[in-house]
Amino acid sequence: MGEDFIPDVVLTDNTSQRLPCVLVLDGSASMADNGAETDAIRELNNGLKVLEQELKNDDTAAQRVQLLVIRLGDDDQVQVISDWTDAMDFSAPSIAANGRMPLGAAMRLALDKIEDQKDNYRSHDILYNRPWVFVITDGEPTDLDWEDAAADCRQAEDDDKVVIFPIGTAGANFEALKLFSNRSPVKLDSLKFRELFVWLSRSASSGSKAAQDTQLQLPALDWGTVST
Amino acid sequence: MTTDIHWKAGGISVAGFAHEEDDIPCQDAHAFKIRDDGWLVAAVADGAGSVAKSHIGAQAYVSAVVGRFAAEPDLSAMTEEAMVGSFIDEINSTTQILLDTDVAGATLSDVSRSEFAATIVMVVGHADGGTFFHVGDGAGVALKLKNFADAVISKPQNGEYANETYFVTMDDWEDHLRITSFDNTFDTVVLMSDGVTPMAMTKGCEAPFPSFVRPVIEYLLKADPEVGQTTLHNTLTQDKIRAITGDDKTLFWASQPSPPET
Repeated sequence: MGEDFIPDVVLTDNTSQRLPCVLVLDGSASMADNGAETDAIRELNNGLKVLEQELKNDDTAAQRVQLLVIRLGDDDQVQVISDWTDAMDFSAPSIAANGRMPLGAAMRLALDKIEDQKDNYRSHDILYNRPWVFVITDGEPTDLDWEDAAADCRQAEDDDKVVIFPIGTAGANFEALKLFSNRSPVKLDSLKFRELFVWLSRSASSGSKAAQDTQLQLPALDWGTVST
Repeated sequence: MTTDIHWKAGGISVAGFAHEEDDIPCQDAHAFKIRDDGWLVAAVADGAGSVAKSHIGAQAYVSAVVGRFAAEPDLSAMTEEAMVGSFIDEINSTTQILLDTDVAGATLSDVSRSEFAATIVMVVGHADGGTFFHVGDGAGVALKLKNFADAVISKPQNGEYANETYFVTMDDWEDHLRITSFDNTFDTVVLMSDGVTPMAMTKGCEAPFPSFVRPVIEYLLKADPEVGQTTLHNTLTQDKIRAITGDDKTLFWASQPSPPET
């Protein structure tokens, strides 16, 4: 076909549809000392850089995805280290590994941030997809009420507020991780953070549509195995 | 019934960038018929990206409903209620046919209706007005080409999330069937899937976006049909649209050209 276009057509995205995506990243001490050839924290940080590039290279994802990154570590501390950012402007943070793993508090913060952002979208008439939370860890929760927080996460999924993807490296406590989502956790193969984040970017870009109250079908995993 | 109504009409369905790259077929479909008595029947369907056979469903549903209304002996005599009944009957019959015939390589128990999930927006119209029949997202628009004010819109229905909608294969799909009528003050009808709404509609799908819809329709009205189809294809697949949507795109348009001024 020729390359003629209809003249004078303005091509803009009038809906500004967004996919909010929270990364809850384990910055506890064990991430730097798990006995593997290369430590998890270095692979995680390299993976985040891959994610930044993959999102920016994908025109749809670059426009549509918004990211917020939460780190947990230190003395049971959680912090937003990258607030809501359009993927096209996302700059991969560097995660430091030290301290403990307050996963319950981190997930509560993630749920709160998502609801705040939904309010923001609604007040500006911005369409949005069901938000995603990726939680990536190599250990087990250390805060006292993490099980209550995990129950809140499952309830949030039951209430159609969010989709939670729990991901653990080989040393993670999968029995604990399982309690944070109605989806089975995925065990990351050989610290394949790079493959994980490529998959995340492509899934965010696919624009796949589903019926109300059903799970989205996502691309096949090439970076881990579902832990049942 | 004879008529002096002259519709000029056309439609196109193109695979989205994401589907092209993953070698997935276009899951949108459209069909239309301009009857000898001047009635226009057209439909656009968008198969669910989350299921593998939705492109089959989308094509089956548009072919079926357009075929049904194209073959009605006297649309002028049908009440809106009767049209709704025919639409529902045709959708349900098509679902049953899809289930009954999809046995190659699968037992019947393996096939569920949700595998053919698709949205649909149909228009049945004439010089005196018409009606949109709509389930799910996408949009239908009736407008006056010279003045977009007061266009009648059949809006998408998504619920809270933009990537989740309603399909004709759902058990309660009839509860999500929306009927919108328009009168004879409109000369142009546009149907579109959700791959086109971000460009062709304003925020919230409150109105057609004039800077997209007007140049497209005015160009297509003047163009040779074959050239127009090629140029529309080029326009909807150009690289700059990647930043707007990776979805499949379907646009159907029909217009009654104004008589030449004397």
